Amino acid sequence: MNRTFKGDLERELTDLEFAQEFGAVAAKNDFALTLARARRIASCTQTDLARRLEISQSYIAKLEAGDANPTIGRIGKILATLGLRLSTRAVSLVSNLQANIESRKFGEADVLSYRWASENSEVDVFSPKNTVRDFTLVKV
Amino acid sequence: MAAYEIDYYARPNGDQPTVNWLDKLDKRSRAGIMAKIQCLEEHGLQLLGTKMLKPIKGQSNLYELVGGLRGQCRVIVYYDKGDNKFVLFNGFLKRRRREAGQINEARDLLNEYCSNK
Repeated sequence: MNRTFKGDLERELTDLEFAQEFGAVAAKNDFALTLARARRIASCTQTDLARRLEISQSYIAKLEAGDANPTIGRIGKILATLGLRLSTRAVSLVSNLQANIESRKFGEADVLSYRWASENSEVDVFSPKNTVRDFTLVKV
Repeated sequence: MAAYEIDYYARPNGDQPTVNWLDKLDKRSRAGIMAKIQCLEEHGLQLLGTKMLKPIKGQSNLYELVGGLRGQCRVIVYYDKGDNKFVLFNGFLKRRRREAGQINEARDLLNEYCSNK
């Protein structure tokens, strides 16, 4: 039977080491796209942006290739140069699910609440803090 | 929901060249290139605005996805406009002398894909 990308990715993401590396690269990819779009909207070339930031054009190119690993502070500085600021949200590693994560009280317990939204359903998931891998489904 | 479908190309004999190549990579490199593939699944041809996706000269709808091992990992993908999906033909580590051969191999696979559709 033929293997699928979706199936392979779901299997690989059960490995924490793989998932962490995947997450690191995905964050860089997301920022690469954000920066490339923001720069185009601002009609700013890589060279112009680099000059305003006093960094090299090749570093901007690396950022837009997802090859650089900027600090959060540097991301803020780059976006501010384009008149923008960083807004973050956590989403599922698997692209057809979205997770909204918040910390809340559930009875006596301090828990993390996850709301997973997929094509067909919404699921609330609660997990005691610091044991994020042990989920309890409370509503489907 | 993902914006595009992603398929590993399967040859008539069942061989999946991209799968065989991914399986040979170390875990870190595999995570890197699979993150790029997922990015393609979500954003498609918007990646052309970055250095993550490059068109292959002389062949419309055939692209090189760049990632992993500091950009050394490459996957040749075909955008099937009719089905709104990307078909992954093969992968390789970028080496100047071998690159043309890998792209020619992808062109052969593309011909095979189109004739069997």
